[in-house]
Amino acid sequence: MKNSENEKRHWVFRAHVYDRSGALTSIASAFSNEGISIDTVVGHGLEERAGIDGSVVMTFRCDEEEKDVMVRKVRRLSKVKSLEEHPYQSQNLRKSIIIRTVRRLAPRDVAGETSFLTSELINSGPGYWIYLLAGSPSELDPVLIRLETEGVVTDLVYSIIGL
Amino acid sequence: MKDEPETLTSVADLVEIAGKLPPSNVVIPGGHRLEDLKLVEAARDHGIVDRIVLVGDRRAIRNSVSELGIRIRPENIVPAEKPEEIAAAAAGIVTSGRADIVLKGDISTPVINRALKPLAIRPTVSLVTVFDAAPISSGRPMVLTDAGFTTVCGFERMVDLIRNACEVARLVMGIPRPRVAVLSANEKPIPSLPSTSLGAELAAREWEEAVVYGPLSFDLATDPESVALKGLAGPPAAREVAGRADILVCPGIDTANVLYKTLTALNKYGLASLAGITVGFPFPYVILSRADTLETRLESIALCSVFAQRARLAGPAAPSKE
Repeated sequence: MKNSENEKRHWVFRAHVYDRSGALTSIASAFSNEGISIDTVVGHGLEERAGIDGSVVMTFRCDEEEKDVMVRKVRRLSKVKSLEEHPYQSQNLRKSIIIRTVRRLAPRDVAGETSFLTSELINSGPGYWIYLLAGSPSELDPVLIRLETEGVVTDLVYSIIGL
Repeated sequence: MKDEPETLTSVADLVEIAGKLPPSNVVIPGGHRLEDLKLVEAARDHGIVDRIVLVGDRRAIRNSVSELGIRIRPENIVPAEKPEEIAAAAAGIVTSGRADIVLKGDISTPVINRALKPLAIRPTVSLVTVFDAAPISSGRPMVLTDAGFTTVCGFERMVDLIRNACEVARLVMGIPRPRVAVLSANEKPIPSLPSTSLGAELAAREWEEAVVYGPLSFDLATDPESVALKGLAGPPAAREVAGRADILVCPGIDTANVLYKTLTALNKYGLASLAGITVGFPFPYVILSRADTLETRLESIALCSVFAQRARLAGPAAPSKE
């Protein structure tokens, strides 16, 4: 029987870094050396301080043991001040997306399992609507998959995850 | 302008540092192994390596290059059949200046070593390992030697090992006068433990390029708390080195190899980084173990490139007087 600890899971790292561009390179290299692919990566920080410091948020899949090795490796990188790790499904995380739809969304469209997603109509034109949706990844992802399956979403313009 | 190296803060940083220096050219005797080609291609991606010269069976090399889809100019595939011919061709390539670094590929170590040996500029060729490990000296980069080459460690041999390690500390780690601890199992000379006497003899010698003290146990070399707890009477060098050593010189390959393998285990657990360079030739020579992680392999190439480029800027390496 497969040990549940060896099952691939989805993780989120948020690293506070001294030098965003340099840190991104060294973090990506650490993941690459371990043969783990980064699914998404986003850097945050004030624009006027771009390249100086800020934070880097990345998502990836691996088993728990591999994740623990990555925690230790990334924490030891000289450009990393601190590192938070979260299971992707953590309720502490927030994901926001911008989508292009073929119709106006109704409240039931943005209903998650336990709560409604935050939604805002950003723009619209003939035959299209642009929405910002936000919520925990565990609430938002099933909604997005449902809307894509129903043909309501034509484009995922932007997706970001953070705390 | 002379390049004054900054103090190295982590072994992982070697990849970025090497990428900012001019890239090195690498020759691989027995250069058809996929793992070696992936490694040098990764190093090329990081700007560490430029030209890659592959020596060996032309068809095997072409097959591997084609399988990986990497770009190697036809003139950089040098055909040779027998191991001795491969080794001689690689030695010729590095001597001619077409390559700055030799990376041992799929070729017997004694065969390639025999071909390179006449090129040595030092009486002792040694493996110098740069490492950082979270549980040792608060994770700052240090040097370990010699986990790979020197089997019999007499006084003169140990002097050479220290000199080789000091060169790496100076050129790569930015430490102009490193603190060197000669390790043993005890800090007092004990007749039944010859390495303690050897440490004391080395400490009594005059050193320009380093502060050397021994014998020191591992904890007294690396841990200031142990020094404070146990106390250590001795000359000024003892106070300077104890608990703050930059270079750990093991009394023999057995001790060094055990320490090296411990670091490898810590590396796999995510608590250490290490990179190796063979010193004593007018060029860095890399012998990687298949047990080394990809991280260690890439950082070893980076270490060799930083060493090669800074040595080039510093001028020709001086042969040892001995």
